[in-house]
Amino acid sequence: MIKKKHILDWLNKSAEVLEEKKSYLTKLDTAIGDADHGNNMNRGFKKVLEQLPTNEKKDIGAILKGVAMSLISTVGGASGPLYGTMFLQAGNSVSGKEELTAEDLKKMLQAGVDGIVMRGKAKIGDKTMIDALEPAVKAYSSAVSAGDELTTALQKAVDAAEKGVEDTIPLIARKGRASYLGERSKGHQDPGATSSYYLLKALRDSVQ
Amino acid sequence: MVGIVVVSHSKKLADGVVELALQMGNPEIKLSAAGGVDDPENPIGTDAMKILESIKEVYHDDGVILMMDMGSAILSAATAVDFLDDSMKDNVKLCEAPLVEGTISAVVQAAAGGNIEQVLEEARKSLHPKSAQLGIETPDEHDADQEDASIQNGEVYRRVYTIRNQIGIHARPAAKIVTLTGKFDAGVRIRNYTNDSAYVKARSINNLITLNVRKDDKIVVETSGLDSAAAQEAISELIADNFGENQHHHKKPSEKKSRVKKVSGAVEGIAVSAGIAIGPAYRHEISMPEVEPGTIDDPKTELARFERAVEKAKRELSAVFEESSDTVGTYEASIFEAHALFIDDPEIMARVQKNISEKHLSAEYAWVDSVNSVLKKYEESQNDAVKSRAIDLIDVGLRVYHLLSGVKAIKIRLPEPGILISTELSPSDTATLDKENVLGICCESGSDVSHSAIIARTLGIPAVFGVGELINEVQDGQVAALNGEAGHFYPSPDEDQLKQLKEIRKKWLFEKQKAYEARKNKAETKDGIRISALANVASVNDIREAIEAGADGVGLFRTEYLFMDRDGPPDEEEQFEVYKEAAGILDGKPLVIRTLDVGGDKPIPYLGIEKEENPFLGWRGIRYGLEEREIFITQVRAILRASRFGNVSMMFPMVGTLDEIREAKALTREVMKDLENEGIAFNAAIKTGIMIEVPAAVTSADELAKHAGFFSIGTNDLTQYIMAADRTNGKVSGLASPFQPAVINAIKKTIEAAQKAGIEVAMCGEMARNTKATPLLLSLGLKEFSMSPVGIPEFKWKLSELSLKECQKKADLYLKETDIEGVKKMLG
Repeated sequence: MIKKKHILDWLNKSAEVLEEKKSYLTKLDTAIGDADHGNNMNRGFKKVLEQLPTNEKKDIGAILKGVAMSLISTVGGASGPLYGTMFLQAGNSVSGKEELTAEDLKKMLQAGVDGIVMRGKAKIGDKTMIDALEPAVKAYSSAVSAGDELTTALQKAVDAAEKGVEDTIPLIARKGRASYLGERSKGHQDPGATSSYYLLKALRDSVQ
Repeated sequence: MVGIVVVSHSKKLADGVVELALQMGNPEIKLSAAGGVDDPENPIGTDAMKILESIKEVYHDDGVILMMDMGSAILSAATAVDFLDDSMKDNVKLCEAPLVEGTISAVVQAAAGGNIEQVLEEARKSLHPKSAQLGIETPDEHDADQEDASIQNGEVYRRVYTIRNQIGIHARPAAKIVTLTGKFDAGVRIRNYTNDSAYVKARSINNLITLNVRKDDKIVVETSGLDSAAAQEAISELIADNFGENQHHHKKPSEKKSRVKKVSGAVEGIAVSAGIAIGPAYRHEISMPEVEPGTIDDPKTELARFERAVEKAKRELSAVFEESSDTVGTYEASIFEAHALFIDDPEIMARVQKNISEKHLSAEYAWVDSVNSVLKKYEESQNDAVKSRAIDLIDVGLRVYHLLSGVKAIKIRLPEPGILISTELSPSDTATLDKENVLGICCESGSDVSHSAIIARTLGIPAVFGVGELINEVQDGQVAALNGEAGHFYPSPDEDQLKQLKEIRKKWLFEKQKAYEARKNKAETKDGIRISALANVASVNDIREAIEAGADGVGLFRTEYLFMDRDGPPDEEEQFEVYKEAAGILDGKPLVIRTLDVGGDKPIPYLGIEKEENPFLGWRGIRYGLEEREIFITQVRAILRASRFGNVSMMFPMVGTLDEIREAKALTREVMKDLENEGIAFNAAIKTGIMIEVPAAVTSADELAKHAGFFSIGTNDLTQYIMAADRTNGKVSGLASPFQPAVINAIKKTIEAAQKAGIEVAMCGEMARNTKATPLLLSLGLKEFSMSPVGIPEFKWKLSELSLKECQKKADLYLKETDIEGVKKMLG
């Protein structure tokens, strides 16, 4: 069972890891984008932590929606509306809940990914966040359906995301700034997929 | 008044654009800037909340349009709209026009009191004046000379390409462009640089075709929008690949000639159906019908009726596409995909809508009129390839028309006996041919394994397919000739050729006559060995023809046709009646009924077999029957019940393992028990045999022979499986020949296994009919040959000239051959 404190811990850990990996993400984004992903995500999650106290007494859905608002207003780049929509939809899907079962989390993750897809219209193989998130959510869902423990299922999701990130390397970017590079985007790991992976890892670490 | 929000990564830019727009002298306009992020250290970015505030600030029920720069500006704008109340959402539109020009045009139009559509339209057109002034619509000469020169203009990419495929951008390439374009968000426009055309939208197949792009023409492809780079890249690949035409036909005549031995005055095509035809040539031309402009009262109902016809046509086309992908290859079949796009064409659709909604015309007239308007453009085209592609549009036009009007397709008729010339024939065209007058068939495209080819052979009409566009040189009524065995078409044979062809024809007719006369003779070799000449049939009517052709019985009754073109499987009673009638007509002659042989390649929707990656290696034949027991058991019951009305045997398709035959037989025994319990009579001694068409069955033939009542070798599938080569794939169809030594060895092994176990063995593939193979098959010990009825007279006649002893003497020699050329040489 995921309690509210796990969610708060997740957001803290996310902010931590994004701070730690700021330069790395920016480096990835320098190769195929506009060199701001690390800074943008770091700034966004700083703001998330800053505004967290106003929401932390509310239910999980409201907390996540608060995260969405923070990200939408501060990230600045495309990851703002994309992750913003992800947290917003995720929040809507668990509206009013004080704790989450494995099944709730499945719904939440799926709603989040659906939100990103709706917003960015990316498909798997487009070299985007979706390349990490979609396999992760699938892995999580099938693990839960197969009766795995929540922590085991999350581990599988993280593994799938990690593989998804690696798989972005040979891809040609089809969305966003990187798509301007065409063939030249090959051989580089996608920064968006990478930050998605960090978020999932932080979730796993918080729940363990 | 329509409100306008300017969204930019830069606060300065957004404010600046607003400032500039207000210079247009409309201070009352509702205009708001939403630029940058409120973070002094990182001010560049977009903020959906800020955009939301701006929208609320200028909101009015007349609507709001959002002008954006790019990237996250678009995503943030869309996000902001999501936060609006549902009542407001629909009134807020994102506009793709360039930020500065678009905003200024929009402001002017909004201030003039335009509604939201008009404001959007103005904004979209905002680049026109600038383009015109700079002449940007046409890239400069320098770029045109460099094939791959790309100019980047903000998010707009323009690139010049030279088109290298044989007939330029005709229907199939155009369809591919339309389909590809649909996968991207980017706007794609194309113009023909060579003839200095205007840009057309790449989402309209008609627009693309009317560009008249011929081989070696240069075109300019412009992509704009979020994924414009990727769209440009994808189109570039498509063009570099010559739209997938490289691997396919459209060979130049010279290439073809080098492939086949050269005959002067003849065009080389594909030998489809043997025989000689000489006579006036008539082109089979289809055209849209004349329809009176009837009026209607209720446009809504009429539109709905039209849409239903369109949906049905699309479903038909997708079924035809899937079916023909398997028989003639995906590239050939893609014409049907193109047809589906013709239906969806915005230009045609818009005109139909207008005809019905505004002019209250009948759907039939609205459709025919719209198709004709596009046809007119085709006819005015300078490009012959475009002109000739009008036939595709007519084809699809007729399909929808027939669905609307309920008028069935028209039979092909010739004014007098002659040669039918056509681009290509659909199976239904071929099946409804006027047999009296069609002496021969010559088609521009097509393959020798298409349904049309099989039907031509079944009807015994000489045919040559794939002669290319040369058929356009033939005038109606002009005497032409074709040699269906050699695959030669003579558009205007000279006297010598005619003389020669007439002689061959005489010989052919003589042999045909001779064979026809011999058809009622016993099938027997010169040295008096009795052979069974059996027929492959699919219906009771076929059986009547088979008997007329001299068949000794039916070696293969394909039951698939009983299951096709309906919404559910035939019940036991219906099947029983058919099998009983068949047995009755045969009057004691053998009738081998094969249980349902379907797989993912045959479209019978209610059977629930999904489209598979590899239908030939998938869930089919007995594999299906043993799992979908209800269908299997119903059929077995019907066959068993019919068994007492004649000499009926039952055969299972696609058996590869012992378990399969054991299980099929166990189920049969259960059905027998049930019938006994119900007091229903049947022939308890009925023979149950299996098809040998899977290599595994050959390998295990000795074991299988202990359980099977008989074998029947299906050489078509067996050959494909042994050689791992698809006979409809031109690149490997040479491998897929039953004359390959590996296949011959498999046949030999199967016959030996049957002989050892003392069971009968027959052959029911195309090879059985091929009289060149007869000496070899006789030498291997085959005694039962099952073929399409039309082949039986010739088979019997050729058989009567063979001596089994002579053949047996040569048996070792045949088997010594290690390659297909050697085998063919031995057999002459």
